[in-house]
Amino acid sequence: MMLRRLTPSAKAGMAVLFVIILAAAVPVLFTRVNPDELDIMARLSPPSAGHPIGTDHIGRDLLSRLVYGARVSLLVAVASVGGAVAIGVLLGLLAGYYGRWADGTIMRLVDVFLAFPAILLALALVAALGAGITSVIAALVLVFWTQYARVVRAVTLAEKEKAYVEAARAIGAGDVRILARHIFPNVLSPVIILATLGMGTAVVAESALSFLGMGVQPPAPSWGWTLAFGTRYLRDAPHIATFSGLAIMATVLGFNLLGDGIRDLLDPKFRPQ
Amino acid sequence: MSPLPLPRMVRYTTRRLLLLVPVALGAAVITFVLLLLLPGDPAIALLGQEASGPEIARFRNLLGLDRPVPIQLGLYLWRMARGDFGRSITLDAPVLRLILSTLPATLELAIFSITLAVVGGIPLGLLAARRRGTAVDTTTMLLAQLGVSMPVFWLGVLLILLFAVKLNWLPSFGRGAPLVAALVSGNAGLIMDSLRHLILPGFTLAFFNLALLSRLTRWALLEVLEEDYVRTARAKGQRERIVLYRHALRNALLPIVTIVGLQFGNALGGAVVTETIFGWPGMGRLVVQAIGQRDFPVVQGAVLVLALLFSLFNVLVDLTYAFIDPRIRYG
Repeated sequence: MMLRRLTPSAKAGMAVLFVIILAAAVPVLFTRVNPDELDIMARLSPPSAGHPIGTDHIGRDLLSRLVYGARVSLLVAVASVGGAVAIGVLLGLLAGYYGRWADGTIMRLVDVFLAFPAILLALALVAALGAGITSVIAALVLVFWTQYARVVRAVTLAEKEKAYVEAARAIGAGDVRILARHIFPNVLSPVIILATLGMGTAVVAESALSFLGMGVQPPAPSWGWTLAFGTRYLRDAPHIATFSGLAIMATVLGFNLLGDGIRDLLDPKFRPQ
Repeated sequence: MSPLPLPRMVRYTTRRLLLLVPVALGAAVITFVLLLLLPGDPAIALLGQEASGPEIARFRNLLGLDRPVPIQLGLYLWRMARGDFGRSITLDAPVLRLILSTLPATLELAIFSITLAVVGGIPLGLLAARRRGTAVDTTTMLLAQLGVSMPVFWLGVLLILLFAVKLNWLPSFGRGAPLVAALVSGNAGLIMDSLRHLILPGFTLAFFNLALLSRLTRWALLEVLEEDYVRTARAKGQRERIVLYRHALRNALLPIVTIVGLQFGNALGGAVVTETIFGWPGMGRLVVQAIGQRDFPVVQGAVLVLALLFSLFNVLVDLTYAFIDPRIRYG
């Protein structure tokens, strides 16, 4: 029912994401080649029948690298956004509901984290934690949680003053029950919108970190790494940088289109006239 | 539009600036914690396994790593407050000097990119709003959607591929003469050299902001065009141009000004990636190189300075907003 009410561009975004999620879940549907298999004689070769979008600098099939790379990108996106949502929602609820020192402490912490440009903080954290998928996820959770905390706090502040919360309290509901059963459902809409758009941001952030050599480490098939290596062979093999970048952009575009569509649907202010 | 009364504005400005102090303190604590996060002994992690015992001991003493953590933190904060960011391990130079020598390049790139974003993004958004629902609107917004979805580093690579590798029109690496110095000298050759080096990294850094600004301008303008005073202006028989520019755009500009200010702060962060791709000798590249060489005093110092600049710009945006928008009344 909800699907039918999505805008055409949101449906297009969903279609793109469906293909990418399918590639990540069942890669053999798209390629039979092992992403680590070397064909050194065919290194840097352009698209051909054997390698539909060419090979990389050590002769690995690029299509296979990108298909399996979708797993890495989506895993990082889901885990980092999931972690950020969990922390942000919990702290946002506590800050908004309890106010006073809880609000003061949590929001000052948010201010401190927001003092850093996002990619810079992620880079510095990964540099300290050591490159690798776990560090990337941990760093992105620490970078992203603030936006959820701020939004959830704002919604909680408004909701806790409403009559239904007072009514729940009057019939003996405790704080946990009020937060979980009454206020939490109201914060879901903005969180879903933010999280969908945030998945695209996480995909770019992971790729950027890998591009700078600080993300997921080889031989794991990361899109950012593949693109970084592609830049070294721009003159002889531009297909490497072109296709790996295209994979990243398609995924981000998918999340952005879907996120915009969900916002149009859930927030009446954005609903087309 | 009349600005806020002066005493109120001064009070608000002071309050916003004072709030920067705990934020700066918190940011310094985070940069300190970075060192604690290093696995194992930070001295060995920084100097490498092959470092000798006396070297490690000297280094521990230099950074105060041989003292309890709270004392280390106190010493670190005290050093930062005095502007003593320590010495670079690999470049054997004071970190502050390295920061000050690379900061102008980063500011130049950020200012140039924001100028491009404003000059391109606002007219495009205006065009899309004026032609709402037409092919022009659809195409512009489609391009803007692609723009906000395109990773900066990929765009940079594509631009290098086209304009430096294929067409050989523009340099793909390094910085020409500093633009301000070139402009002051009045030497056309120097100015051209400076601009030729700026175009690719500047446009790369600008593209996301340009796309975002065009979307925001369109959205803000369409919101304002629904307002009663716009309807009144039209009912009075004013020409569409006057309605659009004199009534609608002036009010739509308020959120746009805010976003431009915030984007300037973001451009400082985004420069980390752009400067690395184009070999631009700014603070972003300094951070990335320092991370590669595990030169943590430089990482800490540069990240802290960028965070402070970023926060300061955010406060300036808040102040500008409060100053130009009479609807905002801060207590």
